[in-house]
Amino acid sequence: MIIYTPLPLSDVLAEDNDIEVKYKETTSGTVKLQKNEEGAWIVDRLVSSNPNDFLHDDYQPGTRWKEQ
Amino acid sequence: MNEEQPNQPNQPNQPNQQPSNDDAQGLVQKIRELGETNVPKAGNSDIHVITVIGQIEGHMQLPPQNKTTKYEHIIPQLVAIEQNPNIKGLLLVLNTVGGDVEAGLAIAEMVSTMDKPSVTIILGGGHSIGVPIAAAGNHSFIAETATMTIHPIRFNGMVVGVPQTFEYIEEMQDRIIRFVTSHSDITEDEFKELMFAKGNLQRDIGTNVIGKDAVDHGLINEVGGVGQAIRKLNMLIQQNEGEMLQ
Repeated sequence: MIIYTPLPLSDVLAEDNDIEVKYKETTSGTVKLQKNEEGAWIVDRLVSSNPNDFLHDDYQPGTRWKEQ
Repeated sequence: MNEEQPNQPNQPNQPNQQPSNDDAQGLVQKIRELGETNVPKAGNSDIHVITVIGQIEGHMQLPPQNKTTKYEHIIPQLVAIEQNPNIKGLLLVLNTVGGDVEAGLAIAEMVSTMDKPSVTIILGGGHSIGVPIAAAGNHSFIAETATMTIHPIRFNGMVVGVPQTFEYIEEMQDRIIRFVTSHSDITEDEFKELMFAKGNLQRDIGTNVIGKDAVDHGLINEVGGVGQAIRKLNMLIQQNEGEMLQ
């Protein structure tokens, strides 16, 4: 694999944190969740090509994830 | 509890009734949730948007401090956009620092071979492997302040045969150069000149082109923002539909 980037590869490949991340499939795209200090899953990002999906309250970055 | 819900047939103090009560509650919850999901879908958009941010991730998962755009998320979305008759065009918003060469080229090839019109726009930065992706659309925009870094490929890892590795990297580089020059107005010589220029970048050889410079070099079609990009996309959609009618 060749990474073509202006950033130093040592920064890109550094393993220096342990953020817990998971992806959930929903009816409107894939949601990326991140665990906060209290152990709750927080919405970090929505991956969808439909711009209307981004208006959904449950998928706003920073909201607590409700299991569906 | 009982006083609060006097009309509820299933009371929580009746243990054998509790599961059905929970089921009903769940259903009500779901109806409410579904009711909500319908609200934003009221005005369906015929333009779909894909944002490419951070590192483009391909064969290997990068450590979690990287913001990444994953190959496996983008490719199925592109296929869905291409085959869904309700979607008329694609807007690709780029703010990327590059990433995996193969994944980047795969996305660029997918976008450039789509029948549906596509417009790319660079906001912030479209560096390294972001350059071929920006060139892949039918029309490309760059924000006035956005930059593109064009530099040679670097390699880290074990080198078994020096001439072979050198040739391999050279070939990877040629793939990028060939794609960019065949999908934009820049000539091969000019692109290589930008790629191997000395003294422009602090810790690398290469060039950082900003907004209008990218247009002057022929890498990008126009300087502009989201408004212009959507207007152009709508124009391309109308043209495309006109051609299909004929």
